[in-house]
Parts: sequence; C-alpha cells; structure tokens
Amino acid sequence: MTAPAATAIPYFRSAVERALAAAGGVELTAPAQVSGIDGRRTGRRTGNALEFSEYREYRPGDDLRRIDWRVYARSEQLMIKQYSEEIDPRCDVILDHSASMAVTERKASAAISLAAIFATAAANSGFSLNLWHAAGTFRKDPSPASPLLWDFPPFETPFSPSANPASFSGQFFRRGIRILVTDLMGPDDPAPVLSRLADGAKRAVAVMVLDPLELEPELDPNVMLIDAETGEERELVLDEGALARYHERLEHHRAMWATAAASRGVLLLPLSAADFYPEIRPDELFHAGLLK
Amino acid sequence: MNDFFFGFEHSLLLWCALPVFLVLLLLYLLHRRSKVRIVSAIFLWDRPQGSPNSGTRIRLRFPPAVFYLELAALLLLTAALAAPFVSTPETFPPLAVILDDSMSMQAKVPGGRSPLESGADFIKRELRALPDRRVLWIVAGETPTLTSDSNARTDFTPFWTGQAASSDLAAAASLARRMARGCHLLIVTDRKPAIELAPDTTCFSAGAPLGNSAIVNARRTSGRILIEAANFSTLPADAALVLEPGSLRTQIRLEPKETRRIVLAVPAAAAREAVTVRLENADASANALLCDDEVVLEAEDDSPVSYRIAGTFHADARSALDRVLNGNPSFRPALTGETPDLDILPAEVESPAPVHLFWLSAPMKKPAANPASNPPQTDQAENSEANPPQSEDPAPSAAGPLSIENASILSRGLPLDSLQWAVSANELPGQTILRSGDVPAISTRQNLNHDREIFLNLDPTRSNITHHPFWPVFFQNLAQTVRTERFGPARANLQSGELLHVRLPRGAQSLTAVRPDGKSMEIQAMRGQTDFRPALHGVWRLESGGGKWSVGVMGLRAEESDLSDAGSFRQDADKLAVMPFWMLRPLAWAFLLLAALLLAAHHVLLAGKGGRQC
Repeated sequence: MTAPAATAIPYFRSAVERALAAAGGVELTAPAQVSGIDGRRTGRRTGNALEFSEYREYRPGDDLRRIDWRVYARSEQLMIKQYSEEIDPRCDVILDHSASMAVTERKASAAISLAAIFATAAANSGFSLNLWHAAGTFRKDPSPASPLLWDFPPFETPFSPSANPASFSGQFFRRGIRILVTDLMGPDDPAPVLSRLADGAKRAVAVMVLDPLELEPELDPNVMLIDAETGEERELVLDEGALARYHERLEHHRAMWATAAASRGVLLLPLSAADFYPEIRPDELFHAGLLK
Repeated sequence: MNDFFFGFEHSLLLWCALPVFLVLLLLYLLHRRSKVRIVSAIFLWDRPQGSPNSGTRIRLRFPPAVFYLELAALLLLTAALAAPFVSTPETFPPLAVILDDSMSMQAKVPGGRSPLESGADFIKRELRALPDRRVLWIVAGETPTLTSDSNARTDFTPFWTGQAASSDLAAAASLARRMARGCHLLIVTDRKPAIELAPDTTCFSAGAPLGNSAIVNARRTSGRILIEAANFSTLPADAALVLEPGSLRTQIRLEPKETRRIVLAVPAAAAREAVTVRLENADASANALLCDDEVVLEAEDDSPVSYRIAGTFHADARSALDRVLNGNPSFRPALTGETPDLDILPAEVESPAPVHLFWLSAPMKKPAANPASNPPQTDQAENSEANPPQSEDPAPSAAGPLSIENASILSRGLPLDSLQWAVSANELPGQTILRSGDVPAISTRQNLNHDREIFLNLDPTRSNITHHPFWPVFFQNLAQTVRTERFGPARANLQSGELLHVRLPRGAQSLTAVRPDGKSMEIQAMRGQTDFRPALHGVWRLESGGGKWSVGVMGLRAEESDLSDAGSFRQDADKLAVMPFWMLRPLAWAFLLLAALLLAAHHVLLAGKGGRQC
C-alpha cells in the first residue's frame, strides 16, 4: 500500500501521537557524559580551552604551553591548567522526504515516528533542536519540538539526499548531534552526504528505515516494478533466483553505506519500519545508545 | 480408420473465439494485468534483457499464467456454444421401434394371438439377433410417446397396452427421426401402414381381417342413451345391448356391415348415476375385439338452473320473465340464502352467481326518493305489484333486421322469423351474438372473475318477443349455457382425445385428474379454468377446490373396430451392411466442465496472489 501523494500531519497524526506517547520520559543520549548548569553542558574531556576547569600535575607528553608558570613560581610544581571542552547541547533531526520513503504507508509512518521520537527526546534532554525537512531543499520546521505542529511537505521529492549532496546544505548546529532519518536507497556515492552529515557534528547518526517488503520481498510470477523516484519500470518474474539476487545487491548496498559511514564516524543504524508502525518498539534505539 | 471423430454442429460459431481472444488481449494490454509494485530502489532488481541504449525497444511481454487460464476458459465456452460432438463408431445405426398402440392391436379370435402379442414376439426375436444395437421405444397412440432414451434397453411391455383409440404412425416416425438421426425404423402394427415406408424401415404386421361387432358411438342425454352399434363382419350378428344398472337387455340383429342407432331409456333410478352399455355378441368368434363392446356414460348435469331476478324490474319485464321461467323444468327459483346459478339484473353489478344476465333495456320501477336507503330488491315476492310501465325511458327504441353474428350455445336454433325486436341505441360490451340492424341485441363476455355475462338489449313493451318462440328457445339455450358455466367439467362424456374444458371453483389453482388406470395427474389452471385432452378411455375422476366430478371418456372409433383392413404385412429394411455408423454424442457438457475447472484454478491462483492490483 502506498501512502497518499499529499501527505500531511493529519494523515500521520495517529503515528505521531503514538510516537509522542512512546517518547515520554525518554532523553537523547549525548555523545559523552555531560553535566552542566542552567542547560549548559560541559564535557570532562579537556581540550582547547573554552572554560577553566582545574589543575593537574604535568605528565610527560603534555603540551608545555599549558603549564601554568605562575603556579610553578609559587609552588615549584609543574601544573597543567585544564579547561573543560564545551559541548553544544544541540540537535539537528533531518527527515528525508523523498518519494522512496513512502513506498508503503508503514515506511512513511515509521520515518515520521522516528523523527518525532528523536525530537521529543532531544527536547526532553534540554537540547536546542532543529528539524529539517529534506525535500529537494532544506527547510527548517518552525515548531521542531512539537511534532503535532510540524508542517512538512509530502513524500514526493524525486531524489534522495544522497542523489543531490549539494542540496544537503542545512545550517546545522556546530558540534551538535545530527540525526538523519532516511532509507539510503539511492544508487549514488554515499561519501558526500555522509561527509556533509558528519562535518562539524559532535555525533552524526544515519537511521536507515526499510520496509519489511524491502527487506523480504514476496514471490510474484508477474509484477511490474516502478521506481518511486525515477519512475523507471521493470516487468519481472519474481522467482527464487530474482529474490536471491536482490538480497545479494541489498546486502552489498548496505555494506557500502556501512563502510562509508564508519570511515566518517557516522553511526549507521538500520531499522525495520515494522518496529515503528503501527506499534512502536524503540529497543534498537536504546541499544544503539541514542536514547536513554 | 480413426476410432473417433470430433466436430462441431455449429462450427461457424467458432469464429466467435477470435473477437474473444482479441478482447481479452486488449484488456491485458490496456490494463497491464501484471501486478504493479512501487519500489524505492529499482537498481537493486534485475534489469530486463535488452539494451537500454538501442533506442525504442519492442519488449516481448509474455502474459501471466492467469491470462492463459482465462483465454482457455473463454475458448472452451465458445467451443461449447458451437455444440461440440464426438462421433463414435457403431456397427449399426440405432433402431427406433414404433409400437402401434391402437385398440385393434388386441383383436384376436378365441385361443388365437393378437397382433400385439405376435408383434412383441417379433421384436424380441429381432433384438436378440442384434444384442448391441441401441433401441428407442416409441408408443404410437393418438400422440406418440418416447419411452426410452436408447442408452439402455428397457422393457417395452408396460407401455404397450393397445388401449389408445387410434394411432398416429406418421407422427411417431417423425419423432423417431428427430430423436435419433440416421436411425432405422421398426413399425409393429396390425395392418399395412397408410404412410409411405422408407427403405430403412422394417414393418411387421400380424393382423387379420376378423369379424367384429362394436359400439362405435354413444351419447347420453336426459333420460336417454343413443347407441350406434355396428357389425363389421361378413355374417349377420345377433347381439344384445345390456344396460347397467338394471341389466336391461335389448336384443338386436345387425346385418353385415350395418351400423344401427338404438335409443335406450335410462332407468329413473340411474338418472344421476353412470350407466354402462355392453354389446354382447352371441357368436364370440365373430367378435374379435372386446374393448369396443362396452361404454360407460356419466350422467350429464341437467339439473334445473337456479335463478334470481332483481326486484327493480318493472312488472312488464317481470311478467315476460315469469312467462318463460315459470313451469320451465330447466329453471327453478333460487332458495333463500342460496347462491343462484343465474342472476338476472338490470345493470352491471357484482354478483356471486357464475352467470349474469343483464337486461339493460328492460322497464324499471320508479327510483326511490332516497336510493341510498333503498337498495335493489332481490326478493321475488316483492315484485308482484303492477306498476305502470316507465314511459320516461330515455333510450329511444329502434328495430332492424335481426341476424346471428357469432354462433354459440346461446344462438343455437333461435327462430328469428316474424320476430319484432325493439332495442335501445346502446352499445353492448363483449362479443355480439345477435344484432338488430346496426345495434347489438345480445352479447356475451367473461368478466375478470371468469363469470359469464350475457347482455340483453330488448324493450319488451315494443316487441312481440314474449309471444314468439324465440323467447323459450333463448332461455333453453341460456340454461344450457349456465350448465356449461357451472364449476366442474363442461361435459360429462367425451371421446378420447377431445378437449375437455374444466372450470374450477373459486380459489382453486389446479385440477387433480385420476385416470381410469388409477394414475393421478396434476393440471395447473389459468384464470380459474383449464383444458386438457383425456386420452385413456374409461371413467376419469376430477377433483379441485373441494369439488368432485366424473367424466366418461369413450375410446370408440369405427375405423379401429373395423378389422376388415387388418392383415399380415412384412417389409424388411435394406440389408444392413456391417459398416461403421458414426453416432454423434454431444460434448458441450465436457467443455463446460473443463471451463469451470479452469476458472476454479484461476480463482485459486488469484487468491494465492492476494488479489490483483491493476
């Protein structure tokens, strides 16, 4: 079953409401343990100082430029001045609106549910939040923390973000968490879009949502396949051999994306739409450390 | 040589398969009958054979399996329409045996064998010689009857009784040719058939010109029986007519070839009962046929017609009616509370009687001051007053030459000479019986309740009708008409094969007829009446709506009783060559069955695919 062409939040209201119910009390996990006051969070890992943290004794290998010579003058101990690295408590959620995301109602609903879960979890964690609708161009949603008020276009974009990396140009938060909800089902080079996703982010996550019919297609002696984005048609006999070759290509495709993601520090999380529609079972998100 | 030959009776209909195929193909091409599935990454799927860079491609798309199933089912249905058959070889063509079932087949001298018995032996001998031959049995009575379907040999003796009043061999032969094309005929009768015998026909006749005396006609009227007795032998016959009940004997002597009419009086005690008349020939050897020596005659319903006269008639009209009805044994006044057989009324009103006589131009009493409070009187006692004739009759009277327009029981024997008939210039409904000039004088019709309505357009004050023989004859005919319109059979006695009209009581939908042999048959009625032809002679018992009647059916035929034409005759069919005869067996049922199986498979296949998405 395909989702209607002109999707809008009323059509997916029930899915969003279930996502909000599932995301109640759930928080987004920051890439490192953070603590802070008044919503500002600093990491324990020291780095290029932004804010003084504490002193510690000099250990071989430490940057000599960080030795506080005034303390040495007073106490003749080499002390290193530590600064806390400030981590932006920010999150960008990018929802792919290409037509391939709506090959089934279940897949589109699952994608929206995931975006809503991430947005709600980020809001629960006090993150600054941006929700981006990747529909050819990037458009920031005016109510990112209120999924029921999202104003997003239908799933009709004839290409995925990977097919047009130049369009992947949202004004993302620097050093924040970026979560891309997509299906990564394009034939294009994954490197540009993954690089763009990881560039300047503290954590980048690509959630790969696939419908069960895409993971395990059914046998069919006579079927006309039509690509949701390109419109290309192929009339095939889906016998055991054809399905085996499809599985082989799908695995190869996922491995290519996994390799590209790993090389760029992007967490690639494959999910089944069946886990998020009609019932929501977010266990995979907890296991992956995205939610807590 | 092939063992089977397959073909179609209407082979031109096979051309229907071409448009059927084209339409189905177009449906598939236009609607793309393959299941459409939207996918997110078509590059993960196999690429069809062909070069994408070779310009416009012509793709050979093979239809799915369901297409072939649908096509095969449609072709099978088309083929079934063309009446397929398979011819199987038989050594001989089927044999249609036509059994003369007329009464004369029973003729025999004492101790001898009848043509029916001899014919049965002949048939058995013939069939023993050809044990594998298929046989159809056709009983040739007044109408031929097929008693077997030739697929299995059945016993013919229960059907062949020789009881029919006549036999139509030509119709039986025609039926045989229709039922089994290419069949050979075997006719078993008692004389040389009057029909032309084809070369493929075997005819066997074992009759003999025997002497016979018979009752050839009979009729019963009130108190009398008219009998026609005949002597078909070459010697004089001394015989007696015995009437039962009472065993009244009347001795007669019939000269050779003489037919004589004898009138017998019915005893008063048997006036309402069936009587049997039997012809007893003193010389049994001169009376070969016994079944034509006896006839049963039911009592005709000649009971008086009960009538009722509306009280609104003027004394003159009333006097004219009284003059013809009083003292007439065919009529009697209806008793109080009794539904009369005949209602005599001045205008068309509802009446429970089966026959209404509407006297439209009769003088009327003066209307009452308040008609609503003074309904029409029906009591005769109130009509004895002598009111003056109505001089204010608005309809002008006219008279013209009288003529019978449609013959019926009503018009039977009506004397019209010197009759003066004054009519109003009104049109009468229904079928005109008598016309006076251009004006209908008497007409009749059947109303929606199936009641008989008779309209009389007569002004008695300006006619001499009440002093003319017309008046009593008309009412005698009227009584006869009323009797035929009573519920039940129109006649109490008739010849076999004649049409019997039965009027059913109100509300009855069917008639149960019990034949003389005890078998019962249900006859559906239409509009409260039905017609059927009782074939078997004897007494038929009829029942419907609580009413019970008996009808005597006579199987008397002078030509059957006259055995002078009977004789032995033999014609053998052309010698049957032992050669394959192709017997056509219809196969449409097999095609339809196969089509049904294919459609079931088609359904299962579609159900397995979870339905079709176009």
